Amino acid sequence: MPGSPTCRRLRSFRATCCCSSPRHRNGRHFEQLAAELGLVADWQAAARHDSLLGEYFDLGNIGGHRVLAIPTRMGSLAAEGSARQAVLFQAVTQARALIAVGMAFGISRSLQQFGEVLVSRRVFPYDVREIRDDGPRYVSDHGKTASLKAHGGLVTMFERASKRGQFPFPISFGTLLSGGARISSARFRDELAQTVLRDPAHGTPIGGDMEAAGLLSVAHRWIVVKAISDFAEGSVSSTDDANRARACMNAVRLTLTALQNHGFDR
Amino acid sequence: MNARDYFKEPTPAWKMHPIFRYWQGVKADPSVADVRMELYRPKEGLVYRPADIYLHVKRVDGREDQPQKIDWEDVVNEGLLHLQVKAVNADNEAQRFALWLQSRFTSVEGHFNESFFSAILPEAVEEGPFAKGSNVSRILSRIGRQRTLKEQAWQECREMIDNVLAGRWSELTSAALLNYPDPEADPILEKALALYLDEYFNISNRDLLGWQ
Repeated sequence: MPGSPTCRRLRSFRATCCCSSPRHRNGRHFEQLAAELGLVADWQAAARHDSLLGEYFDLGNIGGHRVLAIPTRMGSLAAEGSARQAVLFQAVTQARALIAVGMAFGISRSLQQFGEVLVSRRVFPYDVREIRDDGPRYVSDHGKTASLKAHGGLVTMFERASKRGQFPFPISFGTLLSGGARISSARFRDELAQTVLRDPAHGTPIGGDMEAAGLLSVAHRWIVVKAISDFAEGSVSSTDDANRARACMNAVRLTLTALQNHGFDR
Repeated sequence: MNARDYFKEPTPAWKMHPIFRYWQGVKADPSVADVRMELYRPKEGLVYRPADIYLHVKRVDGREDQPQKIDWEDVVNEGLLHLQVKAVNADNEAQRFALWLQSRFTSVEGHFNESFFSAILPEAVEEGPFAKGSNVSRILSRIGRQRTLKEQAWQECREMIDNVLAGRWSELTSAALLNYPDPEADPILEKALALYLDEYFNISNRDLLGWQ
């Protein structure tokens, strides 16, 4: 598999990969911000296509990191979902770090806001659970579910960026819930968040997404940087496009700024 | 050179840190009357903002320098403790020690596992000297208990938790470090422990979210 000229070339520079969802044209936000920050002059020239890897963008050298932007489909399990993309690009590029960028749901309208960027200290993969009979019903038990820690050096890089940059949006560090469900239920969202909140081993829940769980299949340096586009209450189609766009822009802005100005322990 | 000379006593990380060496020079300056630190770590929504330290320098003529901001790092805090730099007030000292406890307890947590540590911690606090303090007792009353088997690991974890607390108490009271008298050190550490427990067990967050 990783024997093509493209694969050999990618492997030679050990990139930092940013996986993003193209569904809401996240790639366009990368393009817009990369130009605004003076990072990529010619987006068309950055576009790549490979029969194995599919579409991706080589953003070149940003703050000493060779950065690839890799589109993913929604969720982690689909073809071109985050798990497949993370495993494939990690294997091919020997990437030093994987950063999942995009949109997330928040868990409290009163304490959070649209566009707030959520940076993972941990990810709680809520699909990992025990389902067992309990009388005539069954119960879903997360008692043995482990949350996984994001790479400490990457967390520090984003902490520095959040403190030193002037960002027009709040930035929070905590635990992201991640799984395959497309959640449009405040009750389900709250149940998940309470599960995490009750067990101090999992940290403080701040939001969730559908792709971060895919990164956990790559035993490597990873972090999730996503901004709030909705609160998992209404249907996905009811999410305001402006909130999606703002969320993508904010997550990409923080990521590119952090990579440009702050290194991480390699 | 023999091995004893070659492997001489290692220099602690805080002593090697450039910020320590810089502030050591500031403290030694005869025009400096006092140096204090202020921890800045506001809570924003559900989580705390990454911490900063502001250093306040007071000159012997009464003037105060513009505060200098540095990132919180454990090694920086350790250096400041060895430079006998106190916080600006008791409340801020408690916040500083809450964060410092978080760092020290993280290594205990890593040594065992998070669930085991979180089950033992309230037991250890309950049997320790701060259990009756108003801040700690209020938090303890909100933490559910899990049954633990009092085996070898339980004993080791208890001892490590006690050691972390004893170490912080020693830093507060030691004449070579912060040199607080016991009646001042006790409430600082009691409040620091309560702040740490509140954050670790998400007690205030449950209230904020309306989840009990």
